[in-house]
Amino acid sequence: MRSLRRRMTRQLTISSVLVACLCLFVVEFAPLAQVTLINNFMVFVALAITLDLVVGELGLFPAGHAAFFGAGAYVSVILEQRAQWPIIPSVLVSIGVASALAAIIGLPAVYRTAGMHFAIVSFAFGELLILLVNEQPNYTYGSNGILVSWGSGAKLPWGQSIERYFSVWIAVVLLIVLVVAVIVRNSQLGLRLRIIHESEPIAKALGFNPTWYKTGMFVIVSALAALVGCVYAPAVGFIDPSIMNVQTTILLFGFVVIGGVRTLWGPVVGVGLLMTLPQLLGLGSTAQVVLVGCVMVVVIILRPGGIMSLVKDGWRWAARQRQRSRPVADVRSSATFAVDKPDPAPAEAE
Amino acid sequence: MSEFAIIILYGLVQASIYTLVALGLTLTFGVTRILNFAHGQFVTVGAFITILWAPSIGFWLAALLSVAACLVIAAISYFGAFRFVVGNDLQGLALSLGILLILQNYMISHYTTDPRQGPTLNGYVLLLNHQVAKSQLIVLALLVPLVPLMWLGLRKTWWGLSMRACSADEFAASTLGMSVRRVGLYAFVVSGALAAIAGTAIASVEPITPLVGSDLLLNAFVVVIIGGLGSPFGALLGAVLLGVVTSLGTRYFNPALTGAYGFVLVILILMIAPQGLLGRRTSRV
Repeated sequence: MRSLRRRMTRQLTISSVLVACLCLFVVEFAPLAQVTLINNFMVFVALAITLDLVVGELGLFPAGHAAFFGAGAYVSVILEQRAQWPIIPSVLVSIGVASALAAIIGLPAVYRTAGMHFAIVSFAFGELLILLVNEQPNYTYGSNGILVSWGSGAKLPWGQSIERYFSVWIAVVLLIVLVVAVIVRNSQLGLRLRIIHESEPIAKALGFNPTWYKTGMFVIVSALAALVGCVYAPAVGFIDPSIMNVQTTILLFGFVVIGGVRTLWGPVVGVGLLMTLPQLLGLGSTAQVVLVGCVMVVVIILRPGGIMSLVKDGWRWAARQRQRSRPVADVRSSATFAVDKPDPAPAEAE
Repeated sequence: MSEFAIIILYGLVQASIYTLVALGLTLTFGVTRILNFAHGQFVTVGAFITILWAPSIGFWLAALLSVAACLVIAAISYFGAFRFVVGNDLQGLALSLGILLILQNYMISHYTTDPRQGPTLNGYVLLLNHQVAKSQLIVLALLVPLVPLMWLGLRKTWWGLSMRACSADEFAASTLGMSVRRVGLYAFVVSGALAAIAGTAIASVEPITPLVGSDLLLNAFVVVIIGGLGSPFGALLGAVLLGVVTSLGTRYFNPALTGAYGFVLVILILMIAPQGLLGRRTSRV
């Protein structure tokens, strides 16, 4: 437990410093053209991390993940614009709606069925939500999408432009997601999830019910996705049903797989290399999606652990080389030295 | 009463197409434990080959060509990719999703999403005082004999037996000399051929876009959940159930909610029989 706590503190510190730096960079230094790019980067990193919490820890694939993201955005925007609710309650209600939907879907889907049923059921549910949005044009304007008026024209604090103002909020949400991910991974809960992933009968024998944990994780993750949706909508200024479609989830899954499943920095690396970098280079969206598909296939065949496993192996190799070059008497001290060294991953992620 | 019969008939036409897609899905899943999201793309490719070649070489030759092409594509994708992840469900899923992204976006950028009309037989037949499109009847007449044929194939042929053996018990099958990797090839080839037939069938009853495969895939997923993942006969049962329920619901309730009926059915089935109607009732260890 002590090593877990030490890792938790380390990861929390690193992630909050990184997010703070990124936030400062967007607000003060980044040219306006790249603010949207960085906002998208942060939103997709947050979504990919939440997806990885279910995929990596439980081996379940929620194919309707983006639908919860879209549902959060839609509910908060509709409550705010059509029902004239204040912002905070509408965000809270949208998170509540997403959690309730996730519980309703998750419980029958993980109860007594194998993992692939869950993928199919959540896939079908995502399609159902899109259908719902398309069939209720009075509230959602169907496939035309909604223009989000939230914050436009108002005088914003710190005299910032609207994109920069919302990037602060997106950064806050990203930090919340990172904190939840770190806490879940490095706590009693994370250990229990690992046992459930390995063997459900053992989990039952140890006295905890896998169904509750699986459903609970799915609810938490969907609520976080809805929260991300709530800040994404005003930052972009426009939402339509295409953001909730299954291709978005597949792309997110691709980023996670390419970066490395069950790592904190894998999703960051995946999104950075395969979404933000191509966008920076001006690649078309179709070409980008095809690129993600190709890289995904290659990574799965050659290196199922993703880029982060490559980084880890490289680090280990370097450590071994260093050790070999030392005299024998120094081996013990060098070993302790290697243990105390901070993880090299964050430097790579940046 | 006669209207009811016609609606059931339309439901059966849909059901026969669902059966073909779901059968391929369930066979590959049963043998290799890979949930193949790219399966819908085989259907799309089959449909497009039929549509693009039918004007020049005739419908039947084009249909044959599409079956052959899908067979080869399935075999290539198995040798090139799926072979390496047999038995690992999450990696198999990721791989099939990658292939889905590549194929779907390639098809969309190359052929656009404008609906294309296939080589349809125009004209109607008067049946029970209702006009029924000829093409629907022909699809039904061609696909109905396929089901007992598949049944015979699964019961009597070496390929069918080995596929069923591998999905029932991989270890026992391997002690009898059937390697899952080789039988997986059979499953992929058969599912590719079935997907091509389904694609040809759907191309001849309605206009298609490159997204036709994804829509069919969703329905096929619903079907395999209802029938039980990995059970070929469950796929048939589920397809008939879904086709008839959808067609009745569209006529007597709300036509806008066509996609929702299947989903409600799935939730109900999961509540009553979590492993599907004909799924294996073994406890997972």
